[in-house]
Amino acid sequence: MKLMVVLPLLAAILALRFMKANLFTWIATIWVAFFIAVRFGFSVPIPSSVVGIYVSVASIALFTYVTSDRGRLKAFVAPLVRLMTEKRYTMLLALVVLLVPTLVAGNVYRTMSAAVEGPFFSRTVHPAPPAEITVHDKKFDMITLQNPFRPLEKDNPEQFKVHLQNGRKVYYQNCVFCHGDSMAANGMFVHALNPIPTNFTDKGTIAMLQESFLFWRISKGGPGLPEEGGPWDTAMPAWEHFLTEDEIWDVVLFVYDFTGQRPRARDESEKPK
Amino acid sequence: MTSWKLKAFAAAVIAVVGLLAVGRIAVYMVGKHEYKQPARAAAQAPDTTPREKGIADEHTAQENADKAKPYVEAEYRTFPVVGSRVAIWVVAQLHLLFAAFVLAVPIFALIIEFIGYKTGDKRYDHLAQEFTRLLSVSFSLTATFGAFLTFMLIALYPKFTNYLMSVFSPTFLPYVLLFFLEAGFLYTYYYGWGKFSPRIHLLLGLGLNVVGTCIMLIANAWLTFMTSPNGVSEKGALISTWDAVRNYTWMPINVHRFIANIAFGGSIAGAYAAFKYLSAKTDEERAHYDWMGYIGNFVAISGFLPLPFAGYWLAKEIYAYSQTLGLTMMGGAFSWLFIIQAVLIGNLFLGANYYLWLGMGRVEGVNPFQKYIKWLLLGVAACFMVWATPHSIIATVSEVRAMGGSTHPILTFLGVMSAKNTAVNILILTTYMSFLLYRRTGKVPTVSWARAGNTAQLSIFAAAAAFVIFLGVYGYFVEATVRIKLSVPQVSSVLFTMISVTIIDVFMYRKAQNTGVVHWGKIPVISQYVLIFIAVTFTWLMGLMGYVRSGLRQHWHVYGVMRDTSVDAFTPTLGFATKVVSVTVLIFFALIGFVFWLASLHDKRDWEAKGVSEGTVPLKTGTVPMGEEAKA
Repeated sequence: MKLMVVLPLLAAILALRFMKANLFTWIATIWVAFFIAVRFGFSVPIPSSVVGIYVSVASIALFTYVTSDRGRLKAFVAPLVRLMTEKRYTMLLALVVLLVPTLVAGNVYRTMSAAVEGPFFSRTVHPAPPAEITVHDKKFDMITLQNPFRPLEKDNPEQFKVHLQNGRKVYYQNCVFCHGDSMAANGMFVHALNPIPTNFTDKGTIAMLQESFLFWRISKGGPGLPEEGGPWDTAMPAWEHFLTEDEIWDVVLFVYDFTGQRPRARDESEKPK
Repeated sequence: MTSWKLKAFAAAVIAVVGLLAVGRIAVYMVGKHEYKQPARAAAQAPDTTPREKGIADEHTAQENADKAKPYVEAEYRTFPVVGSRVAIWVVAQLHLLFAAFVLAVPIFALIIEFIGYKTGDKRYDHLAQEFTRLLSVSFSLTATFGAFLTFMLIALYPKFTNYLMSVFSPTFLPYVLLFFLEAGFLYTYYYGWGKFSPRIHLLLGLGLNVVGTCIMLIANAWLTFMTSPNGVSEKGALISTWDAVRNYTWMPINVHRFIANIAFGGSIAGAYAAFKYLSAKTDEERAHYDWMGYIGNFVAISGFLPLPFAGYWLAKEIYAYSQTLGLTMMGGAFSWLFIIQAVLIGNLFLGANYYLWLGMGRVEGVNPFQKYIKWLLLGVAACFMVWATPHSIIATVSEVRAMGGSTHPILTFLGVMSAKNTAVNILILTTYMSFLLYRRTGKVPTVSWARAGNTAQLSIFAAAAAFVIFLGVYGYFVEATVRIKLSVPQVSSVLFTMISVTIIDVFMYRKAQNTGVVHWGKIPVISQYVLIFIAVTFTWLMGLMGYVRSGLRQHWHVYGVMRDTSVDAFTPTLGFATKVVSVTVLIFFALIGFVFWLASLHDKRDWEAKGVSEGTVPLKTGTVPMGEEAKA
């Protein structure tokens, strides 16, 4: 959070508390403060699509609050009525009448004069794999596909370590340039890529998936992505042309091991009949 | 006759004779001496040019070919303008919406009737009857759309329909017989109101519900088989019909649909009450329909609260059946539809809470619970935001770069199921608390242990909320299979809270002192629009989620078994799907408006001819015996 943004907002709300402000001022301040906090209060900015969702929800909630009681609605509307009917507020009313269209016009100008940029991107983090894939002329059923070396973790830890070491080698020879030393999507080629590669340290990526999914994505890369729900632009090559089946499984083991995450496993009750 | 008249007559005769003579001469001259082209003369004879003969030969050959044509089964046929898929989609959706309503209304009509029977309060009995009045036309529409759907399937998707028939033919006969039984029970239940002893009538209602549920179970087997086929070989040959019926997603859909039907039916009945409230002329009518709307909304919320649990179970089973289906649903093409779903469900929760808060205004005097509303609202809004946070965020290129990837470092924690599950459980707790406050409005408990009771209730709420949040956070530190199972204790703690707090509340407020009179009918009009909003949102949600359930199969009729090779073998875009669903919802509400109108005719006065004053015999055969009519 950016404290320089959030703290003044909290101070403003606290000040209202002591000033015994009316309901209209409260609601208006909360709405504006919420918008500022969401839009500018985070060190890593929140995309405007999500800001839109959050501000809409807040607006609906505030509307609900104001209108759910007759007395409250009356208290909310009273300052507005006073502003529009009492002579002493004529100047303020004129200011508001000028300010509102000016703000709208300013927003239109801001939107229309935005720098030229690529279109909104709706990359789906987890595209769905096909029911069956063919790698090195061998068919794999995605429903039952498992990492053949995963059982070694318990059955033969020494052998498992050998596979992990091989996975490490494969990763640092091939994958590190894009996915980075720490697998946080910060490799040296990242600045040339759009979109940037997947961040494996993120809990929401590989930890949500079975190893078969990674096997599919590594072996087929960008060219093997499904068409539905696109666009799917990614620079990842189809590694099946460069790696053996075992090497792909080894690197899958290594990616999970290095990030400290566990693959989504099937338990006995989850197996299809 | 005067001479000028005679002359005029003679002149006319001569003129006519002269004209006839000229005409005859002209005909003679043309016939005899006119030049005739040879071609024109030849036209009288039969045309024997090679072209005409060729055409005739072709015609004969076509006729012979038609006669010799072997029977080839059509795979698909086309539907004009909108195409086969959209046509089937709309009809199936309409059938389903009416079916859901027809299945739901008897469930809560029976419960309300039972309450009336136990308490002796006739209002409940009348209310149950009024709800049932909506059924008869809806039942006919359900059956009509069902038949329409069957015909459309046979006509437009004959090969696929044949395949389903080959797998499920043993279920058809019981299905039809159950339909007969349902019609029997329904009409006996409706027309037999007050004609049988209450116990017999309640049994009829029970029979109606049991039969209706069985019909739903059979139909669910057909549709779930398409998503998670079972009981067939890899090539699709039938091995066991029973296995095909109890396929992987059958039971989750049964449970989910049963609960959803109740919520949906309650909301439609609430909308009916709102419609009647808004058109009411007297305070008495307004009071009645306000109460009816409240009951409808209560039923809707009662069904709605456990619905996310059932939905989660269904999603878990789909994921367990196939990672591909699971990812298509939650992480792939449909992931943004779940954001739309979250927004709609969030609005439903807000709407339900809003209605309850507005309802507090019915109670006389200052309401001490109003001050809690802002905190409840804060909880609802926060959970709503968490639920609506997308995992696959739409962002500009610069935003993606600023985020350091396609996931946001903070929002990524809110975009996954751990956060969503926690949010929905807290939403349910908050809504339940709103309901509890509403229930207490205008009442003060008189039992000596009221303070301890309140503390116990608050402690249970706080403990459950803390436990749910703890498990939600803990979910980020364990692997996926463990995380999924954490939803069970989360749900259990919420259910435990609702049950235990209700038990305490019932005993605590059993002999409560009323501090303010409830003025039924004295509720802001906006509340009635909220009821209609809830009904429309429910319907829209059902349509959209139906699209997800069906669209999951992508280019398969029966997933992994029977491929869709028609021109529509692709997943429609979300924009297109929402348009189709929206149009379907509009058609449904136009039809349900017709049902409401028909039901409201019951209260309308009989037609009378203009000029017939009160007390005279109406011009209606059979209303008055002939002799009496003569006397009048």
